[in-house]
Amino acid sequence: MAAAAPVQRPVRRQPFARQQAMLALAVLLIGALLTWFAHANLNGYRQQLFILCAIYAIVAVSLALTSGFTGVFSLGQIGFLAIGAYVSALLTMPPLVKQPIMLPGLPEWLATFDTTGWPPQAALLFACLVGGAVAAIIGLLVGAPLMRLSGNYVAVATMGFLIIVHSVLNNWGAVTRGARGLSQIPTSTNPWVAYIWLVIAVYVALRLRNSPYGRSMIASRENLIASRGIGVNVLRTRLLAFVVSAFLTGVAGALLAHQIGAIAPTTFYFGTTFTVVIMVVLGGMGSISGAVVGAVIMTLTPELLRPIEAGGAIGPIQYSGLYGLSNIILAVGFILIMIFRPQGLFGERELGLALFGRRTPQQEWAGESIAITPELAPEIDEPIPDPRA
Amino acid sequence: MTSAPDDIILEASGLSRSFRGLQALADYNLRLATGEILGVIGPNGAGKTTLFNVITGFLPPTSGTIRLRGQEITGKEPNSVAALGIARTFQNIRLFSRMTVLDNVKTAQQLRGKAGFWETLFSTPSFLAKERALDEAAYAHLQSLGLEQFSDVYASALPYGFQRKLEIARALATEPSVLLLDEPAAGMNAQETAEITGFIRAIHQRFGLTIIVVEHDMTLIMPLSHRIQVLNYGRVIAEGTPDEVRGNPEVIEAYLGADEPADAVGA
Repeated sequence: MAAAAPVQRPVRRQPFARQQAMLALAVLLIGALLTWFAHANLNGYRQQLFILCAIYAIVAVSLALTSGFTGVFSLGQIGFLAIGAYVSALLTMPPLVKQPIMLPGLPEWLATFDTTGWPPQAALLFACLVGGAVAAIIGLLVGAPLMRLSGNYVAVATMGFLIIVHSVLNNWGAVTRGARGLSQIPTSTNPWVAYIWLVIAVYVALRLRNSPYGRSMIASRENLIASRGIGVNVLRTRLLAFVVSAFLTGVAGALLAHQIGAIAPTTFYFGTTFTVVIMVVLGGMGSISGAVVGAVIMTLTPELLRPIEAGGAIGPIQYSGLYGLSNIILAVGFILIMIFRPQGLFGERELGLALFGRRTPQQEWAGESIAITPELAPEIDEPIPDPRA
Repeated sequence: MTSAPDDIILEASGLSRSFRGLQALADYNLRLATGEILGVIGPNGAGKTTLFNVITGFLPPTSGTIRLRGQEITGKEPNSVAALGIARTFQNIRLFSRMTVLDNVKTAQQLRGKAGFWETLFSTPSFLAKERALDEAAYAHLQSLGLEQFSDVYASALPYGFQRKLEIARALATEPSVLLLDEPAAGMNAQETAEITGFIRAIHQRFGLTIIVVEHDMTLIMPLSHRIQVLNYGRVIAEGTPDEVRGNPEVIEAYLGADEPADAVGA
């Protein structure tokens, strides 16, 4: 304020930090209100839909973390969803249904592991953490060789991982019951638990993004060679993103298993993989809030469109029922979005003031052209002393 | 500041690199004094960029060793080489396009200290302090190089000359002792070349750098270099002060074309 004070440097860091914090708080509160509403007022079906939105939002956020930030396109994410689901299910299923007659391959400690006496939410938390941890450990083992690859190669290689997981689930009947899947898993996932884990996932992704790790991730995506040249350990950077996203997806898998109460290998394959990829692409690769919005749209729209399939009338035009119509409408929607907004709904940006054009990096330099600082080199004509002399 | 043997900062001996029989670099030797500016010239395909790639770890040498301050760095990964204090720029500018100018510099600067994973996750006061320090250091760095007005602009949005400068600024942010510049004046007109020459001269003094610069443009390399090496087919065919190299008939023939008069080279 004082005019006499020497100008050190313009204050330019985060001019809207306060507003952004308020916005984050507002979003958090609205989410909590929705959750409360879903928990208290919605019927079973709609409540399940709410939970499903949150679970898929967690998966989409983790995929945005690994594929969006580091540019390593992973098609193996659903493998971690499966691992989280199966590991957590085997932990919390009552010992009665884990007996050797049904699951002969289980080690005895796991077959007799009994959480039925625990408070249901404690058992679920435990299952989520273990499911996430196992997914993270497998992510580390799988990522160590795969994160050295780039581009199409890594997409194909991670898809190989998904196929392996799927084959194991289908064929290791002694532990997974094969294609029949596991059932009688306690259905303890409620809207609150799903919402809290979603908040955690978004928080972790945003923290990482606005940190040295996030900068390294994005730098390695933007220019792999240059990032190595300035000291970024690309393998370690990618591995961090991959393992954290495997953990979060593993947790989502645990929530999913404890929502439905029954899981089967078919859930964890290409269909779900591409649905989640579409969620992230739709929201905007590299945008966390975009991933959440994409997940909600992709989960709700098919349900909202379903009544159309029964047939009816649009104004004066009558049409008969057509199975699959909602999918066709959805697909046409994607094609239009990819044509008219290929960067996705959010692009690289996050929900916030930036979205309204306030503080986004300029795409083009609009200032006057400036000469390259001659004052930097006043000694330009003096010879440089030769150090060898 | 004398040329005592322990003043040798970078040493290469018997460095070779071949690509399926093509000898891109053959028995290359170098003793680079601290504070020296070495110019490397040669026709296209002479092995200049291969030399940079081998020194910075992007390509392992087929044979030979590289030492930085006596410590062997042969075969180390590029990120380790950068951490040890060798930074480089690229012939075709390689910026982090969809990152702001400030973030480009921060990403390089964080090599010298950054917050740990758990600090980051819980956004502890120590994390915030470190990020703030990094932010201020990066801004001051841009300011000292006359780039601060661009700090919140995407790197891809910069005018061409400033992209070159930003790439050098980013390399400097890793706090190197040796800087390798690969054709810093490529695509520049005479005036811009003069400006970037002054810029390199200024950073050489201000940051106390040792520099190797690869360039085709004689108006940059002649006034800047203490010593010039001429590469052809991966071999050093001549070496000496700019004046010595300028008069060397072998150089004129190999690099500049035999029928060109020698004085056309000069700056």
